[in-house]
Amino acid sequence: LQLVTAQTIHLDRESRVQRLAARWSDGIGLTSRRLLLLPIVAFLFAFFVAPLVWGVVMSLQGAGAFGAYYAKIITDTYYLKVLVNTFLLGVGVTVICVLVGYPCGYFIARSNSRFRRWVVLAVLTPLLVSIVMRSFGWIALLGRQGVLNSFLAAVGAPGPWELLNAWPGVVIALVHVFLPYMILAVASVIGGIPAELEQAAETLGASRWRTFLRVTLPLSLDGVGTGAILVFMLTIGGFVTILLIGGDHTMTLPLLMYQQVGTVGNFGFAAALGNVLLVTALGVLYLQTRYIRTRGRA
Amino acid sequence: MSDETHTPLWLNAFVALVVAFLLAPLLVVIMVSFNNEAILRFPPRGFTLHWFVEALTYPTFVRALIFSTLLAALATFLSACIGVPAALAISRGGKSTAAIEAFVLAPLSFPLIVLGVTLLFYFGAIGLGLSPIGLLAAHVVITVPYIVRSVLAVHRAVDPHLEEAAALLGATPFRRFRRVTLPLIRPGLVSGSVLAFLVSFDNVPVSIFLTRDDTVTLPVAVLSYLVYSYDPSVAALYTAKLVLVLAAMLIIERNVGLSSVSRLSSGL
Repeated sequence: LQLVTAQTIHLDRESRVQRLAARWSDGIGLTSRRLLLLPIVAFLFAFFVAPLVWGVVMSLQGAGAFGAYYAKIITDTYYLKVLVNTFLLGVGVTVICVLVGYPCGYFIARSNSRFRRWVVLAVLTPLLVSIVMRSFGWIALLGRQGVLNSFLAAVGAPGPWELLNAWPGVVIALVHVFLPYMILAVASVIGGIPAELEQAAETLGASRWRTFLRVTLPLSLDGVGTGAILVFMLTIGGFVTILLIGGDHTMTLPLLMYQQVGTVGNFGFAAALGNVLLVTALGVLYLQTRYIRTRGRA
Repeated sequence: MSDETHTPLWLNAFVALVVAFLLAPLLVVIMVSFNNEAILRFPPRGFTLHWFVEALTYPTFVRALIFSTLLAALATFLSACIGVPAALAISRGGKSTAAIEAFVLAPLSFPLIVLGVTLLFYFGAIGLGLSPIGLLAAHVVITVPYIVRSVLAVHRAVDPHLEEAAALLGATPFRRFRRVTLPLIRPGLVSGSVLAFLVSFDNVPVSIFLTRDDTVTLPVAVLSYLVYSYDPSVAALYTAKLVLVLAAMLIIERNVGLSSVSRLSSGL
């Protein structure tokens, strides 16, 4: 009898283990997965999706006719110019970040220099520093009596250069803000390319340049694309740097929005401007999914 | 073969220039904060700690500093409360949760000023106005993706058999989380929380629309201060903050290991 009981207990336990294992094979069960996701999804719907929908609704009505704000943006030459400037600023900053960031990312991924760690640290540190502080630093560097102009005056070079309250200063400061993202994106994608591929190309007689152009560069383009799109989206949405360095002299969509809310109080128009910004960003994202197949993880 | 991995001299020189470019504005702020003149001049003529005293005794800054610290801490805590469960579900969810992952991480590459403006009027419409609750909710929206991304990256690398074993040995879901999952995801949770805290603490494009006189955050206070006066006390404030951040990084490196500090880069 004892033996039978022991056996049934054993069988019972075994079936329980099997049941548990079956449930586990699904990872966490579907129901509990939904329960785990419910708070964040509900929260983001209430405070992320709903406000944006509200913004779309508000931007479409008001100022008379349906969609009048949008008509104003694309017909008024001033607003159109701000729109074009924002787009061009995004393209310019992105191109500079790619050209400057790529060699640095390559260095981080492939160099065995003992300074490599310090380069990584130098790239990460600005990311942990407030954008207000970085803009403050650029004002001290680029100002009329700043470091750069004092230096130029000291060596007798023509100057002073008016870099603040103008596009060049804004571009320099924005490149400084977004360059680390680009460097890290490039470093991570090149780091993921097996070095054996490059070694094989060189063993087969390709020069370093040829190896780079035919092997490394093509394999890293997806990562560059991902990084470039991130930089572009962050640039056209940039606010603090442009406000502090460019002021009223470098109008972009975010500054126009700030002005519309702060001094004019026209929410419908500000929301319409915001939606134009969003559509631009989404358009670029769509291009990304179209042309970049494998998404590199930035 | 070892010669193969050496980078050419021009590349090293270029990287050195970029490093100088990246660090220049930070070094300038540090130097200006010890400058003994009220005018922002470089190089500094003499050394003083006057601006540190000035910054830390200016009532608006002190109040804003305390408020920002509380806000960032609360936002980070709430983000962890809803972000960690979500990360665990997404991590073990396979393809079915890919869309949710993209949705939860969306605020990362979102133009935040658009969020700030729409939230301002949305809160007005639903009766929250400029209440601190609304500000906190806005900050959770922008910090939660950092927690989810960091925890997700760590949990994806964890062997699922460990949690499975705990379940088979009869651990309740809560106990399994406390004793197995939580210790395993700790590096991700710590680095994600540090990032979330910094992101909330430094945020301007959302805070600037949602703060009122008694809920001004530090960066917003600094911005409005910069409009009227331009003295080195702001530089001193940020130099002090930089020291605190670096100290925090050091403590994390000691306690959780270098991996989580370098993981900050993937979180950023």
